[in-house]
Amino acid sequence: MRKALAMGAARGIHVTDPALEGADMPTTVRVLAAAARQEPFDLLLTGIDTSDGTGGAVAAWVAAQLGLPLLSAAASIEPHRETERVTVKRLSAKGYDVIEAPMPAVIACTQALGAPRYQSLKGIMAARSREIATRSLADVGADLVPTGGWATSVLAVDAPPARAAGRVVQQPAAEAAKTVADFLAERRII
Amino acid sequence: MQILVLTKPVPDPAAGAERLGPDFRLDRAASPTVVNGNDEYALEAALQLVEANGGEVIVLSMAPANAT
Repeated sequence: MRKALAMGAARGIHVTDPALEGADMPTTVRVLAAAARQEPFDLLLTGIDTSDGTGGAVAAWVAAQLGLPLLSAAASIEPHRETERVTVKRLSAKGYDVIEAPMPAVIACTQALGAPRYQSLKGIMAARSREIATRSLADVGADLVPTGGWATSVLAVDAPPARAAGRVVQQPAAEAAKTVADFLAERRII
Repeated sequence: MQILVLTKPVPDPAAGAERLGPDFRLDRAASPTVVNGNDEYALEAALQLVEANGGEVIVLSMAPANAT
């Protein structure tokens, strides 16, 4: 979170509580939504997923929990202050969908928005004096944790199977092209 | 405008030291922690919006106590 402040965020809110250790996604979403309700905001932005859990559902779920519109897979974000609406280009299989919603809204952000800046030395120094408010479960809503255990749990984890050896085609170019094309056609890839 | 950005501390993918405990939960002591890569894109977008329109960016995280 200190790095986020060094990049330029004004302040941070850190919800932490021993009772949240190992929290499942439903609980995580309820807690994040409850903490978000305590802050007035125009937009709530998230990454499209995380590199550890890769659930990818938090943005949509938080939006549902808050009763707010979700603009997913954002490649650009254009707020309109005068109408209190926001326009987003959403990545689609064919290009972009242009979608619009009233603010406040939740937006799941893709890498198409542009690369994150590096933290500057000035930013790192400034971040030291910026506030990170710590909130316990009691601060956001003690009833958010289920009493009967987590709704989901991981039962097993397997490494992906090792990739089998590929097939190398060593033929004159024209023959090789036909071999490859046939190979793909047999599998209905082309 | 006020923009909330959700961020999550995750094991540094570059360190390649992710390890799970016996209950399949992440062993957070096993790997250095970084801000989730995709969240940084959300944060960058938020910072640019605030630079263009005024306001402030607030980051919100649910994380273990030592994850600041």
